[in-house]
Amino acid sequence: MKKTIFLLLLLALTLACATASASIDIVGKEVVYSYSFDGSYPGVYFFADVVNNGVADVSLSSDSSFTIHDEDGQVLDEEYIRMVPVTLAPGESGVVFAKLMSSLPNSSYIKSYQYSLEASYPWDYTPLPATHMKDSNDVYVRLTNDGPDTLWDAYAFLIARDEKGSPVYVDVTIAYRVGIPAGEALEYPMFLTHDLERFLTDNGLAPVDFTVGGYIY
Amino acid sequence: MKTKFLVFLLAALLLILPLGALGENEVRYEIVPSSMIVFPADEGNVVYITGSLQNTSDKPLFVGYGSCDMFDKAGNLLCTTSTRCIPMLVEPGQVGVFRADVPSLMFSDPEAEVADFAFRFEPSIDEGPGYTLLSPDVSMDTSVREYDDCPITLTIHNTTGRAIEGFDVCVSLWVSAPLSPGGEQLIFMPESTLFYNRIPAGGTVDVKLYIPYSVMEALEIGWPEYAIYGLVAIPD
Repeated sequence: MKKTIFLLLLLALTLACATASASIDIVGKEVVYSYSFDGSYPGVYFFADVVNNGVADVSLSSDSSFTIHDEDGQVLDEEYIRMVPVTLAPGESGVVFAKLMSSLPNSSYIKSYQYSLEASYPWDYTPLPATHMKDSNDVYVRLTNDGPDTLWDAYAFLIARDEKGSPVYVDVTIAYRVGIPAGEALEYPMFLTHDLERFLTDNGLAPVDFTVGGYIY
Repeated sequence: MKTKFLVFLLAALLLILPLGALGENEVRYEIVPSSMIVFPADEGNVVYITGSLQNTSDKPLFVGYGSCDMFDKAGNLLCTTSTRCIPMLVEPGQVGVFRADVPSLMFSDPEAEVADFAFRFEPSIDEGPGYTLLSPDVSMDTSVREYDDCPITLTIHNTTGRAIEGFDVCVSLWVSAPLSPGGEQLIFMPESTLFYNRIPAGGTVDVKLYIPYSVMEALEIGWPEYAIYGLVAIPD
């Protein structure tokens, strides 16, 4: 009985230490801009490089949030922040991002923003290799299944960086209920459209470098 | 005499040609409501109705979106729900299929039972780009349960010669006797649209669609003979 309690205490302490040591910190300056895909409601986009400064693997908690505020500091809207890759080993880098689709008439109401990054226990995931190609209006990420089993519900991601190396656009898409049989490939459109590219270029954020990948849980 | 005959012939032709042209552009179709299944859901029941539309015109018909009205025994409207035809553009002589499913909680009277139903579409002649149809391989293992549903796997071989995306995928489940003495009857039609995935030319992917297990149990009891067909409709 005592042994069981001791083991439970040890487990609790181990978990507590793992959480306490988990840390996802922003590296460099975040990129935030407002852009509307359809010319109506403004979207607000947030991207930043992060690094795991802790001593254990860590993922991003769903409590991590990005908020926009009016001139009185009131929260206008909120979106949760995601990360690629979904889990960082100690010292490993990643990118966090939020795409907030506001219902504001225009972006002039937005006076400031805030973000919070909360660490969580690491999610178990398997990274997948990927390539990318540019089509008429989209960038596609291509996942090829080199394994023996069908890959179901695979995610693909794209990180676009400007010439300074800052992340200026991130997209993650899932092939929901779609399986990639062994030896086959599937392509994912990433919505880095000509219009968005032009907008980024006009604002000194021209995407020049692309990192792509995939993963399954 | 010869001139008179020629004038008469010309006049007759002038009269007949517009009629013929009108006939060619006439929108003709037949909607066949196939069946209604009521199966238990988390709360209340789900009423599931299928139907098909045959294009009896000489031209392709764009069928697109429509609606389904459901009525109780007294003829009161219980609900109207939207539906869409797959494929959206139906070639002459071909059949499009559709479904409407509504939780009974959404009815104007949640306790009422559906006694009658009617699909409404407004097809129009459309000679623009059509749809390329593919017949995927379909496999179903009724012993497997996922989320209390029976998974059906469609294996799509992209034989179109081009990369495809933004296409509809559906499975139609047809039964024969005893409820359909006239032949096979469409009873269930899970469907999905793959907006954000592209299959390279010559590539193959699998897609999962689901049939509620309660429907499968009803099938095994009431309709032991059934057939499943897969359909992929790719806009050209």
